[in-house]
Amino acid sequence: MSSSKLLKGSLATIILKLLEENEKMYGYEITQRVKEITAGEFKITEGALYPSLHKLEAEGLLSTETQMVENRVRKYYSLTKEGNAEAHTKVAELEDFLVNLQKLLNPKLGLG
Amino acid sequence: MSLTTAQHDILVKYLKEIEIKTQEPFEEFYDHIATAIEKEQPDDINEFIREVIQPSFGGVKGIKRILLNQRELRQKLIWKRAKKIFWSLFGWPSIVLIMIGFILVQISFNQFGLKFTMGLTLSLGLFLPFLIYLIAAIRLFILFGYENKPYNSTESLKAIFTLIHLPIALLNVLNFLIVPIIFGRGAFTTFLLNNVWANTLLCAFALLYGFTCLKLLKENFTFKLELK
Repeated sequence: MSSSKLLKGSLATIILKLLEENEKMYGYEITQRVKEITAGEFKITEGALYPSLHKLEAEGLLSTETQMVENRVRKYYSLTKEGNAEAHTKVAELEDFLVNLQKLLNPKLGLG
Repeated sequence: MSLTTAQHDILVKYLKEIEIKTQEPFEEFYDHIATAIEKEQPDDINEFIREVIQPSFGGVKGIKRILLNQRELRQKLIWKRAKKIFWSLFGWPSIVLIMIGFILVQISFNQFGLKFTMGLTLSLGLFLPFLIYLIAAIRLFILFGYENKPYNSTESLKAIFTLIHLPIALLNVLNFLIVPIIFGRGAFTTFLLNNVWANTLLCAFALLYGFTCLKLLKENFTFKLELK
């Protein structure tokens, strides 16, 4: 399985986590930030990012605002109060999952 | 560094070619691709869009899927909001207005007859929001044309349209297609005129539905103002 398929399942958590650390971000900025943090190892495609952003917005976890930048409209996404709480939960869930996965893949290391 | 006029024209042409015709997705896609062009500074914009940008969205199919997905989510949100507004009308103090409306409908039944009251309430409840919607849509169309924008409507307005025209379409289908086929021509109107309870229910529903649509339209305009 390619890393992009593994990444897809964690996309919402990644978005929430990034927005928790940055007050507001726009679509392109999110893709670049992920690329930058992972030194190009992870690449979020726009085809996966935007549906996730729109879904999180529809669920009330993200709010949007628009600003004029370089004579064009830019849509910024930020966490709502519910989104902030969800970010904590999702990150904790993913961390637990990774710990358990580590135990399965490398039992000695996991139990140690 | 912002886009040159030539780069802007190529980008607008591309977005038009893939049929993005409404404000919200157009602006989001435009900003995304424009930012990528500014950062990457490609020699050939057309090639950059076709070879780099388009595949990352999953091709034209992927872009269309994003648009459809967003439209469906927006539609769901509008229906959810409409339901909330509709049921809030039965709470305090809106219920007082409903009671007054109901009494006025009853007085109108007695004073001017069923046919007149039905015509009036259906016009107020179903056709007034439709008329306001049409005016808003035309106003936006003219405004976008005047500002030379490459889109002619908004997704929010399109999503509200479904809600506004649905009862009118349903009534037309009932009145001109289903009921005439089963019970004969004019049977639907005759049924309504001969049954006060059905008439009252329809009138009350039309007024409540109309109020819900008007409130939604007002909220959409407020949203538009915030965007500006």
